[in-house]
Amino acid sequence: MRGRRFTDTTDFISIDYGDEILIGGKRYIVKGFARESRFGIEDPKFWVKRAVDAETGELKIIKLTFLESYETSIGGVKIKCFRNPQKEGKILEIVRNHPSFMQGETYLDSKGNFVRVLDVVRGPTFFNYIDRFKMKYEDFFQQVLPGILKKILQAAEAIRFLHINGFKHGDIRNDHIIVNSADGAYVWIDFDYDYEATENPFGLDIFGLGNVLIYAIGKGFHNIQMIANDKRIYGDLIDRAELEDFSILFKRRFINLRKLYPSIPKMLNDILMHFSQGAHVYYEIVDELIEDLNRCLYSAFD
Amino acid sequence: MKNSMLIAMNDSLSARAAVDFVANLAICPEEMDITLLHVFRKPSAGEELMGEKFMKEQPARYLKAMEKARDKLVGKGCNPKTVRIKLVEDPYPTVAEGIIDQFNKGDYSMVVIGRKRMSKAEEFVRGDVSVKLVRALQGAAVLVVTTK
Repeated sequence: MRGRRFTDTTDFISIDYGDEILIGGKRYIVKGFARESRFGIEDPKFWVKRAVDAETGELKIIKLTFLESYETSIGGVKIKCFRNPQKEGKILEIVRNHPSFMQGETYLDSKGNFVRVLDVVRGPTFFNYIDRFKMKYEDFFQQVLPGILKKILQAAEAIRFLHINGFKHGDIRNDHIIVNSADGAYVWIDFDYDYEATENPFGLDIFGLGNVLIYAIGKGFHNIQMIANDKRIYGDLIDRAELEDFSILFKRRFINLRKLYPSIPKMLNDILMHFSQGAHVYYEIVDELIEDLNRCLYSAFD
Repeated sequence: MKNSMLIAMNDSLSARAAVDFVANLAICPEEMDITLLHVFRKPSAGEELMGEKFMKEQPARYLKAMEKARDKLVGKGCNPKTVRIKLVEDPYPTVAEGIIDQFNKGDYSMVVIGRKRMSKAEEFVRGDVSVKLVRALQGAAVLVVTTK
């Protein structure tokens, strides 16, 4: 049986497998919806459809308007978050052909909903990419990490580009970077989140970048439970760890990685410590982080 | 030279504490120029989308708080002709940027601001106007009144 045709996508939950979305003068056949996998749990995103262009057969991601808003607590600080499709549409316009961002077009459907038709970026998320390196830490540090840091630097430059244009990414996480299989570039996806304005408007984006760095340099995250329970890997670290060694917002995340891996240069570790409970000075703009990382790459690795 | 004071405020407890502190200073209040200032921070696009009604109500709310503050200062001996209210409705990217801009446009020698107690996490996420003022303002005294 042929699917239904939708020009109004307001009731996005009812748009199902085999249905067609007519938008931007094209016909897209829905093949399913996206899921986000976090901590082993699959989270369905019914407003994000996987679809093929009926004319070309090309796979697309179609994001429909979902005006979600909620209050979240980050490190005990409550902050209002919003899903803002219009903002994602504006960013898509300014990042056209930028290799560090997902690409796509935004259209209005018959009811004025913002519909984003996105190209699929093929490759693993940064979260899964790092997890694939099964070598010893010293080998990872010597052979792989310098290349990864150079790519993170480019990704941070891309975020700087957003900030100087007045936009936040809004949801910087390890699984919102795709390592593009075609050229290895780190590509930012999912920038429809926004949060309430504060005196530190780019603070959470910068914190997100800090987490990407901590994840990369640590070859994964290390939390207090892991350190306390796995003496084989962490040795006596639990006895040496102090409150100041943990993340300012994710209180159980260990970020003074030099205590775990002494080969990490102090200069590089100091960047991470800007995100620790012991920090007295924070990065206010992404340029400051870029400058420190750049200096570190040239003096500690070359 | 006559000193001129800019008191940055909203309707919070810490702003009231800053006004109280100035009102109780053992100085010659009748000779002081005081401007009570409120600036708006530009809301994020998401906030605009969600809280249009809330946004429209804000100017009246802050004006009321500033009028109360002026009455308090006048009650403590300040000259009503030299205590001014300034509500800048054109929003700035951050409150700190707004205060700095208004300071630079006027002829002020001191900025007074209240600061509520914050955890490190809160300071990281929300930022701190007073720290930014201390860092950015040149040739000015910055008085930060902290609340318990």
